[in-house]
Amino acid sequence: MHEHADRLAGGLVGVDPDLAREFEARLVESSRLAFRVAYSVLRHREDAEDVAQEAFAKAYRSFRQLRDRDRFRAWLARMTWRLAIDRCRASNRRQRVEMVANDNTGPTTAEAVIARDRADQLWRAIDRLPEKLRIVIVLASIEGHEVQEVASLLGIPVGTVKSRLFIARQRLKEQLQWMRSESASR
Amino acid sequence: MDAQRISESIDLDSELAALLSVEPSVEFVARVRMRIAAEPAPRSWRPSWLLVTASACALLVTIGLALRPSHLSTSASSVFAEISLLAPTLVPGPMAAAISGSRRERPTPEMRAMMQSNQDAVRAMNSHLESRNYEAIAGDAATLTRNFASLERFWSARQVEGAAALSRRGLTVATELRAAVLMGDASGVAQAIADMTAVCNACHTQYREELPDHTYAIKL
Repeated sequence: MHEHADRLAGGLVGVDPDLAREFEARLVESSRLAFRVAYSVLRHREDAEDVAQEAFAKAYRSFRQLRDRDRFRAWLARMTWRLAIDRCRASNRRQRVEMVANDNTGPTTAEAVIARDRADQLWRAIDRLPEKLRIVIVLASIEGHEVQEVASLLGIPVGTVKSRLFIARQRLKEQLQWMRSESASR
Repeated sequence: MDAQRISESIDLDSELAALLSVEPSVEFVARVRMRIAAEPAPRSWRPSWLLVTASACALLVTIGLALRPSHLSTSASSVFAEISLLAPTLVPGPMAAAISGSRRERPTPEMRAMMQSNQDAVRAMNSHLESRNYEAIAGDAATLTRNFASLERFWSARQVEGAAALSRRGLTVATELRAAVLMGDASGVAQAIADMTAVCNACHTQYREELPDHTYAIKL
């Protein structure tokens, strides 16, 4: 990791090597989080990587100004979410979710088809949640974040996270129950 | 299946975790590094040299005006001329050059062609990396090696040691790139491309200046 940072700092004349090293460490520890946050909105791997990359570039440009570096993950997660929402609105790509592409390439056993249908239903249910509930449930489901971590990532009180999580889960369950009853009755 | 059984079969947490356990591609972090390497250096929150210099100039003007005998002319241009002469001894190199005027040179047609060739090669490498066309990357690296060797001679002849050093670094990175291609080291290739972008970026930041007509001058 330090080797990458040293090379980066060596290439960028004028950059503090300690800063480059620190950013490299943040990049390594947060790359999966940024990708998954973007993916949860865009449902398209390449778009999610593009957006996460853009978020890191923005984070890099302002990294020195971030006084509390422990807030980096929170900062990055929120920025990635916002960029992904913007991208989604701009390109209206939600219609082209990755699951559709997978239909042509993935396994076609009955079990796989059922699993894909269930995943599709869950995504649709998530889509119907208001943004405030959606981000909470997504962050809580990524890397098994605890309620406190979600609160820290979003900069909101733990109690608010708990109540939003509760409501989000209730709504998702209701939606899924309805969708699955509908498909079972067909 | 009745509603009760459906409800019981929903293990929401597991389904959500499975849904979001996607992994980025193996090249993702390398691509981010490459993108960051192409970014300008992060802006500092500390007072910039420009601000420090402007403050120093303002202070000198104030002192000069205060100490100057009243019968002498105190036109702004004469005060500025004095400060310009004093500047190299009062402020550090880059800003002193900005005040007293550093040398600029229009790039020769050969230089422009080399820069264009480098730009084309770096762009092509990025797209070849996407398509994993390593043979084409080796070709791009060979072009860059030739160009950086010429650039090193160009800058050395003008005794601009910083730019000559960056050209040598470009030469080294081009060699590393070719080695990584030969060894089939995908992450090494991505890293070398990122380093190459960083070298170009650093040289442009320090030794290139955009003119009002959107052409470029070389800072010597």
